[in-house]
Amino acid sequence: MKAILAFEKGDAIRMVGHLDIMRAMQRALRRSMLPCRYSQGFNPHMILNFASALPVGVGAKEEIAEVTFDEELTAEEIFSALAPAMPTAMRLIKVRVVPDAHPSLTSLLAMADYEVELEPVPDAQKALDCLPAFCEKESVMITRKSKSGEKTEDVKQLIKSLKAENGRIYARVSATETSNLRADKLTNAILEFAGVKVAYRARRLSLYTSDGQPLWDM
Amino acid sequence: MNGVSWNAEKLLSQVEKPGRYTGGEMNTDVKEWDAARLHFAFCFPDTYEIGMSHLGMKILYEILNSQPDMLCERFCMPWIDMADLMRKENTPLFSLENRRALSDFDVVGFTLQYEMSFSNILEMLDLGGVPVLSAGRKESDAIVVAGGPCAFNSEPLCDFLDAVMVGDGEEVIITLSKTIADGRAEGLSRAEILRRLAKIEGVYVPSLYDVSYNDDGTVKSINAKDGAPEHVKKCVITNLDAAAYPEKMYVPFSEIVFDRIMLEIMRGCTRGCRFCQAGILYRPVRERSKERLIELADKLVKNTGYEEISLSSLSSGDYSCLPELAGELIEKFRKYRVSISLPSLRLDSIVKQTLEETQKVKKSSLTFAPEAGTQRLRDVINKGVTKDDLVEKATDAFMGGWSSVKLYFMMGLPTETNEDLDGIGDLAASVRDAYFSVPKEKRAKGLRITCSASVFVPKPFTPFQWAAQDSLDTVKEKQAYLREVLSKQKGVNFNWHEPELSYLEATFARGDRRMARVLYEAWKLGCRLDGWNESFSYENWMKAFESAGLDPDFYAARERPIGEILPWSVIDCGVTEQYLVREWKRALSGERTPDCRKGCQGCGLQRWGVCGK
Repeated sequence: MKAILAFEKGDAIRMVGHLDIMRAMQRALRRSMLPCRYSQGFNPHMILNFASALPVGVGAKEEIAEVTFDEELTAEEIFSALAPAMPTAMRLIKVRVVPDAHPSLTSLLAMADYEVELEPVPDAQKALDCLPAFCEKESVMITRKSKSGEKTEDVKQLIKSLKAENGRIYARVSATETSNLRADKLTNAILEFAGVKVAYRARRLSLYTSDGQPLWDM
Repeated sequence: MNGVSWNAEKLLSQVEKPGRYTGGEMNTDVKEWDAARLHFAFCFPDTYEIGMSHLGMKILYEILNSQPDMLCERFCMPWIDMADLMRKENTPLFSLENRRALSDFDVVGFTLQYEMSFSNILEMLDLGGVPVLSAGRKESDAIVVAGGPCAFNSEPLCDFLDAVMVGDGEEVIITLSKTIADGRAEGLSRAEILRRLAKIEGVYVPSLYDVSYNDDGTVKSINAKDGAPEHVKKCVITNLDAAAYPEKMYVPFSEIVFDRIMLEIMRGCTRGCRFCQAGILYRPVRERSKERLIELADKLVKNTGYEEISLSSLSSGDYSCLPELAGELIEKFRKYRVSISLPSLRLDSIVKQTLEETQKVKKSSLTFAPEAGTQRLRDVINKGVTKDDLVEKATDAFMGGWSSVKLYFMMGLPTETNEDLDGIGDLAASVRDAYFSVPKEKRAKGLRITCSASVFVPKPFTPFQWAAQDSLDTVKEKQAYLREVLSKQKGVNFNWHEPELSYLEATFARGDRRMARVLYEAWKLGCRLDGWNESFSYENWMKAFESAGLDPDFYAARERPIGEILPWSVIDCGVTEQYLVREWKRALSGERTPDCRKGCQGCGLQRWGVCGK
């Protein structure tokens, strides 16, 4: 049977990379003593999939992962066994049992919301003030390193919405496997546009399907 | 996680592996700062990956934090990039838990695992805002203490450490911490607190001893003052079952060196290898009961989620009911997909049956440590392993499906000649032959033999404490010779150590107080993270010796006459000097001494009534 889990990647562990978060989740599941399913073969591994990888430096309010069990369990059973086994900064938020035929989280995921908190220095206001101008720009090209060398892409094509509120930046961006805008790339593009250097903390808030439905509800 | 300052965050975004500095790991204790009356900074003077792998730190961390009025937080040596940024941005070294500066703590404690981490102690103190020199510390500054194997000769650190704990730390660390907390509460001066600490069994306060020197640089006298004891007896935990052991161990997010459950099955070793310092320091042998180990393993599997348990001790093969223990662990945890590994297997004690059971779960490379190439030299060092043993055990392993073997040797052992180095080649060849003696269909493919040869470093409290280390030139010649010998062996890889590092290690291992000056000068020249190629500068160390006016050969390459006052002679490790002298003489005449499980050899521990053997 399958279940999806929502958990937090707290600010304290925002510097932890995706593979390490994966391993931490596997160990939490092992601590929970829940009957997780493992792959067959020479090197069996736990069947655990994340909706989306988070880069080093980005935290999350609500990440989603999918796990498969060998026995039938209720969401309550999973929650009560797993919640105390999670590291403090990786709090388990909720669990939902889904049908075995549930489409993969990565195939459903299309967009993500981010929040960016800027260090409270005078330059931060400058960055916030130029958001409207940034939004109006036709295109903002950035380069990113990929396996096949450097690639340039237009950040603006990947932004669905962008605004400032309470001194923070809020953005909805594309998050599919082929066109994904990382929060750090976006923030760096904004800061570069504003011509300032400001420290920031980015958090992913929630994940959506292509028609704007929360991924969790699917 | 409170107090995450923007300042610290900015550093984190600029360094490699920022997860080293942010904590938040499973099973770490973030206690309320103000609720504790004693704040203990537990410092590991090397990188996070190494520090978090260290069993002693896990044990003592939990012991300290289980005290309701105490709090213990972890610090490791930051990597070059982080250390430089901290200094540049004026951000003090902060703890992994509450992210408090090192200088906020009442006690700063270092574990001394190897000599070449000493410069990191100075660097960490300085980065943390604690005056590096004891003499420069004010009344309100932290009391800086240390423990661990190198605490048995902490003389080269005498200018930096206020007090040193010698021996098993489980109990003395609490007594020491309470004494400091009480002393502070009573408003005692530092000097008074240190005098009180000196009265605790197992605590050495360097400033309470005066050392004078002869014209030739040897120690003339060591005099205790202000009521400090003439000899400091090491602490011994007699019952391991009753001793505290963590039931939950922190589980780092990032991969560390030993990323698994470590189950200490026993402490000490009865073999009596003459080069081995741990074999003397951790005497007597004490075992944990099988029942207690299985109980601990069960809790640790459930509390950590680790996939592997390693049985750790100096000589796990000697554990009295190893096959039963290994068998039960394998059986019990197979359903949780936990594998069991036996790390420091000794050649003559591998239990065939255990081998067969272990591989059901996982197969990794097998390590043998013959240490020397010929029987003659193995007799000198009292390593009771023969070529036949090695071949037999290697054949067993190859039959059992192993194909990767590591062979550990030391070069530069007392009385070593080229013949002994040739012997290393012979042993490697025999292991290779053993592999091909197994029918093709029964052996695993891809034979890999790795020979590692470290440079012998004479250590205090061993029969070789009087021996000279080979000079740097000799070591280099021998390494070249051995490389030549092993290049003739097909399929054998050869690993060797930096001879300069081993040379420096030798100066500190048997260093006296004057070496503190060398350490200070070297640190001033930028020496730190000396165990790392990226950072090690032999030139700077040599400059430091020069400015301190000391000759490194005096410490490393000089044979001491029996009777010379050794700088570490205040410390009583339980084993008598007479025993060590006898062993040194027997070594030189190639005489073996049997394992003391087979009969007491009179090392001296029975005087204390702590050795049941």
